[in-house]
Amino acid sequence: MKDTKLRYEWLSFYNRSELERRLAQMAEKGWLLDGIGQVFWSYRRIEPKKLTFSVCYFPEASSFDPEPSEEQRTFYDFCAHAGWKLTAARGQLQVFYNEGPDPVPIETDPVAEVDSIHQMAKKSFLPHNLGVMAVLLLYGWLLTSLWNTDPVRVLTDGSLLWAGIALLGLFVMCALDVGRYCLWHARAKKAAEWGELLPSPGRFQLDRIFYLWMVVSLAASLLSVPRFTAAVIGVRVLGGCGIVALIVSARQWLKREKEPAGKNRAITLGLGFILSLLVVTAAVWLEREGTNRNWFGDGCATYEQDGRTYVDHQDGLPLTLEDLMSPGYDRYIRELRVNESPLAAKYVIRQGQRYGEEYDGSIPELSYRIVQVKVPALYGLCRESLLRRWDYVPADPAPWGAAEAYCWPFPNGAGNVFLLCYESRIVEITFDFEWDGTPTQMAKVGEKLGG
Amino acid sequence: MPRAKFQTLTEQMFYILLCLREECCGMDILDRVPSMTGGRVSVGSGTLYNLLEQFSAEGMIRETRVEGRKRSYILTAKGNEMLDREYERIRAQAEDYRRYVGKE
Repeated sequence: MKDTKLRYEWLSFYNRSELERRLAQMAEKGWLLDGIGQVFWSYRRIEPKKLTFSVCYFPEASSFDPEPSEEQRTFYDFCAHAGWKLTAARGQLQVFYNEGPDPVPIETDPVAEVDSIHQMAKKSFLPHNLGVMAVLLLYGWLLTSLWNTDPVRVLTDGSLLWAGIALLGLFVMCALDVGRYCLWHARAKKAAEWGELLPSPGRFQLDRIFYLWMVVSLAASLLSVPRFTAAVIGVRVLGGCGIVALIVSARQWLKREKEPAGKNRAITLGLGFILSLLVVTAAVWLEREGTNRNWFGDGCATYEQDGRTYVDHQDGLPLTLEDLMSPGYDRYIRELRVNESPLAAKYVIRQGQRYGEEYDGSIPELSYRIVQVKVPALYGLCRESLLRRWDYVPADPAPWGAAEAYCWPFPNGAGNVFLLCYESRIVEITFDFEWDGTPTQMAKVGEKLGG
Repeated sequence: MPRAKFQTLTEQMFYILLCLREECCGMDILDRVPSMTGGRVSVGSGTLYNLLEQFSAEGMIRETRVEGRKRSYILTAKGNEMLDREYERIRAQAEDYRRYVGKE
């Protein structure tokens, strides 16, 4: 039979009454709170008994303190005198139990009680939540800027879109938590003047919905990127979890070694910074080496050129140069990259000279991007965005079999970019060579890419 | 309208200050208040700790002795004045009650 158990206590930090009730229930079942961890609370088996619990806060305490300060010990002495025994503490949060019947509560003055809760909130809960919200607002601002300049990129990048949705959920959760606390604090202060402690709200079903929202959208974000990108994200996420675990272990070790709180804080912060740099470096290295060595290349062959390894992409392209002409070069790279979200997909395609070879302007190259719009209402937005990329002039759409066509000739006359609008897709095709295009070739483009 | 700090005293503040008319430590106060009030009023250990800190910071009490973690305090002139003022306020309230109820 196990003598310890871990539980996740789904409660607001200031919902003391509900927490005290739960701890008493656990004691009656034979489980006494033993420790408060980063995520889980640990319980140890005891003889089932009726105990009274008191959850309170000591605002001057910190999770970096090697041991309780003299002031904190004085507080414990007062509590012990009234029969309260400390069972677990973490930073400012202190949990006591009392075996006596109807003990005098640790806090008997609601004004002081609300004040100590607010001191705790100002020291950890509010800065933490507001900090997270500030970072998320910054991310939102960056996403909005990207949306303003390149909405197609946002609409077709599943990972970006899903991550944005996940982070929006996190922002709403933080805002709800802060808003709920501020409302409670304002009401509790008034109630305390009348000698009452206002019960605090617990976590609502809404919070569970937002947690689910975040988990689902983050999973969707990972699933919507290529395996290689998912691996890089995975390294970052696992690295982040590893950093947190290492920081917590280092902090605990320094506490056991009785190092002062300031030194502990400085070392763990420094460690966090160095480890973050290492993880970022590892992810960048993985990305570079993975690309160079084709670790996730789905069986693509590689070739060596000037001492470097390149991937010999030979993807199946919807339209090739060979469909339009005889290019006179047989070592082409045929590369197809897909970005997709539930709203739109983008296929970026290039048929060109091998990477690493000396550039030869006489070898014709073809590159095009297809934007497949899955939600008709977004078609106009994508069209406008793509039209803004170059100084297009209207062209005859008939030979392309398109509804609209635009052309932007290279200023040096050595090529053309065409924008072709079909029913649910927009094609931007670049001929990197002097090409006027015969009606047959244009019809071929329309037939292959028009959808 | 929130009550200005220590302009009026709560029952617990009043009895803590009353205890401190003579030198005593925190634990003495925890025991004395219930016995002074026939068990009607008790002060929680957390509340007492906070109030002693606040009274000390406001100059209403001062530390007289430190033996290990046991600290003893006594009321200052300022604390005494506040206690007297609170007593006068309560007395005036009682007088008003007596006069009002007496008239009826």
